[in-house]
Amino acid sequence: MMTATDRITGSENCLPVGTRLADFEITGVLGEGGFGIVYMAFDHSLQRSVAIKEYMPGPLASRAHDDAVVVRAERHQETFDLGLKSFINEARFLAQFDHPSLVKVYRFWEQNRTAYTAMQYYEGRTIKDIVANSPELVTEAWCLRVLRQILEALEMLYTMQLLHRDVSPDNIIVQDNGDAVLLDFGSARQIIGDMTRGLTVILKPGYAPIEQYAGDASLPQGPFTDIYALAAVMYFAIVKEAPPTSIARMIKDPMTPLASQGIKGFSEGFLCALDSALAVPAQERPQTIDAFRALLGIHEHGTPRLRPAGGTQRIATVDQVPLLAAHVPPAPAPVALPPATAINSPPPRFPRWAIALLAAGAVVPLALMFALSGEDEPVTVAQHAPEPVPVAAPPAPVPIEQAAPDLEAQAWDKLKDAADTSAAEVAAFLSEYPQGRYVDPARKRLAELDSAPVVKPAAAPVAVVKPAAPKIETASYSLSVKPWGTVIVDGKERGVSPPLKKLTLTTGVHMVKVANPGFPDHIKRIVVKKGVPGTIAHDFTAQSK
Amino acid sequence: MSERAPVALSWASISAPGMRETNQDAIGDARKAGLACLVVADGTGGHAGGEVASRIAVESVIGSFVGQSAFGAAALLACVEQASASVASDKEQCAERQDMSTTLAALLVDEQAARAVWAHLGDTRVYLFREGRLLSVSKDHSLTQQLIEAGYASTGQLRTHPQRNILYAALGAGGETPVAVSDETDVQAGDAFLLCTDGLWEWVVEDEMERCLRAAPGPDEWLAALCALAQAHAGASGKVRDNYSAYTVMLGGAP
Repeated sequence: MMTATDRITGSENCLPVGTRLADFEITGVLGEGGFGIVYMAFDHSLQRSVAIKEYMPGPLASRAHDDAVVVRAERHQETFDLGLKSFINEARFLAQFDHPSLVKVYRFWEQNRTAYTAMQYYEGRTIKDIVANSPELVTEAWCLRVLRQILEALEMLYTMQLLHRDVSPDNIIVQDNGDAVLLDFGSARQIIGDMTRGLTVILKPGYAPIEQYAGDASLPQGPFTDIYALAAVMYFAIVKEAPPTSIARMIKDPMTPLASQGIKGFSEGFLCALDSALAVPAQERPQTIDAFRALLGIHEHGTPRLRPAGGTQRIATVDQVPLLAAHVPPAPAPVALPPATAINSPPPRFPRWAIALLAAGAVVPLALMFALSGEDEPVTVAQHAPEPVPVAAPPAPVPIEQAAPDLEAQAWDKLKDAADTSAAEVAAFLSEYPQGRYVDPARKRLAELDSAPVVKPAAAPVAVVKPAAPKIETASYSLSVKPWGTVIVDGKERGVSPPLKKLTLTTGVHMVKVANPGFPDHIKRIVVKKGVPGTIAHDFTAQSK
Repeated sequence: MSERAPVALSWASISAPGMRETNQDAIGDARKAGLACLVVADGTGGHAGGEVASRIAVESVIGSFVGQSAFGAAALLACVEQASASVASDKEQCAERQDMSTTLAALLVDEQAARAVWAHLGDTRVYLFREGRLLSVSKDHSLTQQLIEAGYASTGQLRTHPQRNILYAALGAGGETPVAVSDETDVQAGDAFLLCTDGLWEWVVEDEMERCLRAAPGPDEWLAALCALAQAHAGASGKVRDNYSAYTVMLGGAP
């Protein structure tokens, strides 16, 4: 979309070069899709290039002589209007954010019987374009950088309780400096797609997980929905082919896991992490951004890159804020920030526990129903305790740079001070932060606990959930390896078995590898459920098939 | 190999636009060397792509069949894969039809050996009836079918699910879903096949297909009864009726 290399001359539906729109002068066409046109333009007041997106659903409307967009037939009017509304809502929503990995919306306005969004112009190419024309750029380091940045962008969206739901290779630009930006949601396309239902639709191989197709509440959506799509985009970048649609994968999966494809240049741990995120059942995927980061070995989360000063001032925010304020509360502040802080400071990062609630099925619908996907299908990320939030609070026309809570320190503080800390909790902490600052004291504590008389079963559920700290849930796995093997969980070595007999694993999906240099590796993906013990067994000498 | 009585095929067919402006369905049949081949396709895609895709697919299958005239699952699969390649190559030549693709159902019968094999991709179906009862039906490559099999939807929703028009496999659509090919199946006098697009089966349930079959002296009457029922149901629903196409095939004893 907004890329210099794609620059083309538009079709007859495009506004001609030289057209003035508000303060902007169109200088070229960057891209033309079924539901909109993206122009390159020059902002004469601020003397810089911008990208302008125009709502122009070609199947429904065309250009009149006075530049107005008019529906092709009266019966399309309602659909056109719905699409326009979602186009504007999306612009409004995105305009609140100021994050280097999330498309920057400067302003939006209505003109020519349609609507326009002025956005930051990014020098770069979409992942789709990169894979098609410069596939050699796609290395593990490149993928990790994109993942790290896009996960930050998604996390930012989740602070507003919204899922993206349209992560695709068209929708991520990697700038020439290597930084990735997540683009728009394609709301208009989604809603118009819904309206023109009836004709047969063939799903393209793609990026959406099954819960996006189910069409009703039978399959909840959550961060794991975007996580699947992002992993699918990475699959596309690495394999140069989109994975089969999740619907085709539901019963008899035709997809070979990345880790089994013999892909050169990518580490097994990395490919296994993507395979986990590409699990067809939602509950087998990493449930949260942090869980996915942990699988990928991304540790430096939570420190947003600083924006270059001056280049990207916000322009339009205050004028649209009141429109939003009625719907969008500032992100909840469960960590008990004083109210004044909640109003005047940047929204706190999305708390881990709130996302985790989704897994428990506790989806509390929000008032945030202007939803990007259209009002018939609101998508919200679960919010805990929807207490009334002061509606007048102007939601954050402020930069988002803020130090993330130090989750490691929080987690350790909790373990350290709690009188009833169990060995399993400490072990889980250690596995989460193997190279962390608290490894030594944690090991010590674990040793104390192990030698202490057992007061309660190690896997007993945590009785009191303290909202400020991540909840650690574990299960105990026994090992039975013959003759012996090194046990590696999610790329981290956990010891040699025997003598190692037991592993404490955090809940969720793990890739377990048992390696013995004399035999092929034994790789298994396991789903650990809270308090449900299991066994990892492998006999290297057993007849291989 | 047991001695099997040969069969003789007779069939009737229809392909109609329903209430749409264009007919994106296509059908075709041929007989050669004691074999019969029947094909039904339902195309989709803008700029006339749907019509083009279904026509190319049908013509390609029939062309391959006439060229090789061999019986068997492998022979039929080769015909369908050739059709898939033809659709894909036409797409490459015409940018306007990038989004075109088509479902397909094909039936191949060896009358002398009394054997049949069929193949499909998408939601165009092949039904086999024996003694007036449904014996087998092809499984759609559709979102709804997958949701049902995974336990997220009930079979009752097959014709009512809001997203029943969404398919995950079709000729020319890309993806890795293989063409579904049946076993080579012994058939006998009294058996009947129904090949049809969703525009027909959406409006007639299997019970009614059986009832119409048992009451019909020949394929023309069976087809007429099915179409009348579908029309009645669709008319009562007030919905815009999609294109519909079908072959009704009856197997008699060889003379």
